[in-house]
Amino acid sequence: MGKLPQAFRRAASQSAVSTLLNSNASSSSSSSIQEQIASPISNRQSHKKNSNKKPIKNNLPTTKSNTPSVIFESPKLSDAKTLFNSIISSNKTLPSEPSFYSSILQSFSSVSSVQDSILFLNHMIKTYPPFSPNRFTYHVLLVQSCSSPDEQSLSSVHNVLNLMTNGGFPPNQVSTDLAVRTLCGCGREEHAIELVKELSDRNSPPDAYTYNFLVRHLVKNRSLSTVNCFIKDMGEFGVKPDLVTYTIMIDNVCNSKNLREATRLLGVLSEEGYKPDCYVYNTIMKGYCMLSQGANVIEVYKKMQDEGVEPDKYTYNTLIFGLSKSGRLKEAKKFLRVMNERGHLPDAVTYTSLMNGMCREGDALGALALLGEMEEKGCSPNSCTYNTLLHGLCKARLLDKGLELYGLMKKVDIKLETGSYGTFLRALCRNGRVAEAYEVFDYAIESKSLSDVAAYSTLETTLKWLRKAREQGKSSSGYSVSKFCTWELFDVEMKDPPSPFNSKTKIFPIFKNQILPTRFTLHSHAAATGGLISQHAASIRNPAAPSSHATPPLLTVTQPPSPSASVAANNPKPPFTPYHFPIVLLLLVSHRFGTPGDTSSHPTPSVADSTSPIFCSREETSERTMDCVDPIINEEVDDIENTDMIATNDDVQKAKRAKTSQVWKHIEETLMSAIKVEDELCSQGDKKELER
Amino acid sequence: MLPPLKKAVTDNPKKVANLIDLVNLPSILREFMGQSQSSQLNCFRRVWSYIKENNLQDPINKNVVNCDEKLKGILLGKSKIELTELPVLVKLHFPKQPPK
Repeated sequence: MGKLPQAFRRAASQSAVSTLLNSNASSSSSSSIQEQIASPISNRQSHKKNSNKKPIKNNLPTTKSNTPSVIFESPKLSDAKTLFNSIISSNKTLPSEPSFYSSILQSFSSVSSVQDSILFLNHMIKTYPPFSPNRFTYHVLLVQSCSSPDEQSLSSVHNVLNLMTNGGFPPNQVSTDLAVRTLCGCGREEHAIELVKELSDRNSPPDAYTYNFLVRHLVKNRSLSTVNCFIKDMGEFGVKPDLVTYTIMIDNVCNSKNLREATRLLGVLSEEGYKPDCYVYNTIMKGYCMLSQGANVIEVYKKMQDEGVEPDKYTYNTLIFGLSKSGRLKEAKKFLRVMNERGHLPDAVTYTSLMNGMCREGDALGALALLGEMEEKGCSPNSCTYNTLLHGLCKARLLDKGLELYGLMKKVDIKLETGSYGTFLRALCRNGRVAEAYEVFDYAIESKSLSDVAAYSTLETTLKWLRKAREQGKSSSGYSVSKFCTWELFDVEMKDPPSPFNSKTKIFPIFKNQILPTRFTLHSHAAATGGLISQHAASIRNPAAPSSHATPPLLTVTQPPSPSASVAANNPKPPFTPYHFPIVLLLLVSHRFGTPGDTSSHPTPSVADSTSPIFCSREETSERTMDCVDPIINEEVDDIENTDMIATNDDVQKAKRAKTSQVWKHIEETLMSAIKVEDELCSQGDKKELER
Repeated sequence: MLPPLKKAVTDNPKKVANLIDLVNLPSILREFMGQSQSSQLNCFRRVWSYIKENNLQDPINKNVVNCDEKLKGILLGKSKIELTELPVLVKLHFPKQPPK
């Protein structure tokens, strides 16, 4: 085919470099020749033509070989002609096959214009009659005429095509394919369409490969209407889209989430008498996966079975990926079994999808166990698997496991991906292991996982975020670290912690490092008024229980209420006083951190129903509280997540921050008023006790 | 087709330029780096590798660096710095270029 051989290009560029070196290093011609010999292409014959300034030297070949390569550096036609003449006169045994001359032409065409190339070809034919150009020779010209990106018309292409026809080689399907690919390669899709239509008109319609290539290229780079128009026009020449074409188009519309068009295409497909095959179904399934529509993914699978289409490995992988993504992990695991039964061995992609789903659900340990299972079955994890796991472990605040995994990754030279690198760094910094974060930074650069800039800017922003959080921690008034410790103690003392507290590691690091100080002022406050709270907490849990815990032991809460269960259980008529506010919020917060992503399933209507004055003073308070807590946490998490990816649009960021701070202010105000009321009540209670 | 990714820092040419553009170093840094021109990124990496090579991290708290004389000179004369503030300290030597 007429593609420029790689070796040729290399030779050309190398020679250019060596010429540069020559002119820099020496001006004397003798040393220049020596340089030529020493240059990387010296084993070939080098016919050098120096730039226009210098007189043309008589570059006699230094060594003789059967296939001399010719390198043109001057775009001038006259120079090329002189060089060609010198080759003919100096070489007695010139190869007779046309490919040699084609390569000469190719070499010249890489530096010159189409017109000059055509003239040079004519010159070659004239001066060396044994050479007669073949199709390949013409294709060189054709490619050249198609490859100039800013050509406004097809006129030069037409010239070449006419030349071909005159030379006895009318353009065939290979020519069409070559021209179309070259035109598309340099962004001249419109010209490609025009040319294909012209050639079809001249009884040389494109074959299926060219056609599908063009369609694939068009759907990627042009509007859908252009593609549809092209397909319609081609139909007039009798070139009909086939199943592959439809798959390409469906794939494209699925990628752009245009499922309506996909459905229409499916209709057209069956109208045309095609029966969708495995690839079509896989593509549709992928479309639903992109939209995270688990139900539809399964529907497609069922339809496949109804139609009797045998699903392949990719079907199952897509299925499992889609189900994991939309949170239907159980079904995903079921299909892993089905897949095994059907004799398709799950591969790294399958397992990684599953792990991804598990990590999304917060079950990073389960994902880790799956890694073991995977390796047991002889399926070696890839870098994506490791990165997914690392990300999941850090997200689930299982840093130790994460570090372990990181050690493993380091051992087998797995590269870090941007996302997991960022999450890992933040997890390390959050736990006060800055030095280790630096080590990870080093590894990221050493292993060439990321560019220096990306790795550094992530580190920088993470540290910035850490400093900011610390400063906030210091400035948050009144509550010292010891209060945090109190709370920690409070947490430690809890026996049989129910669901939100089932993993202390999920809660503790935050306290220890005071990353989220504002929120924990509240907690420490709760701890400070622990006696009352424990009493109330106890009564929340068990309304019938007498308040026998009025005096410390401070930490008697054996089973702190989870917001969903205990508060709801308490619904009828709780002695709901403002003290509950902190504890409820605390539960919301800790719950949020305890089992991320699960909160939505825990309704907290009872909080709104409660008779707390503060709650009632605001409308839809419970939702609001939830909303307040949620967006803050989410935003914070988002912020944290995006620290390595600062949006270029600063305004958006600013707006986002402003909004966050607003929400914060709002929640702080609410809390402060709650705390005030609480303090008053406390002091009142104290007075009463004193009076007694 | 990739989903619309969040724009990475690396897509922001100005930020990248701030990090990797070669600048004429101030005289204090020049001595430390052994060269008269460097980028912020290289300088940071040099300082960090210097810390590692000379085992300047506090053996008890690895997050703290006990500066030696040479390091003190370029990091505001502090005898102890936290790793957290290292990027900022290095950045101080690279004031923002006025927009041209």
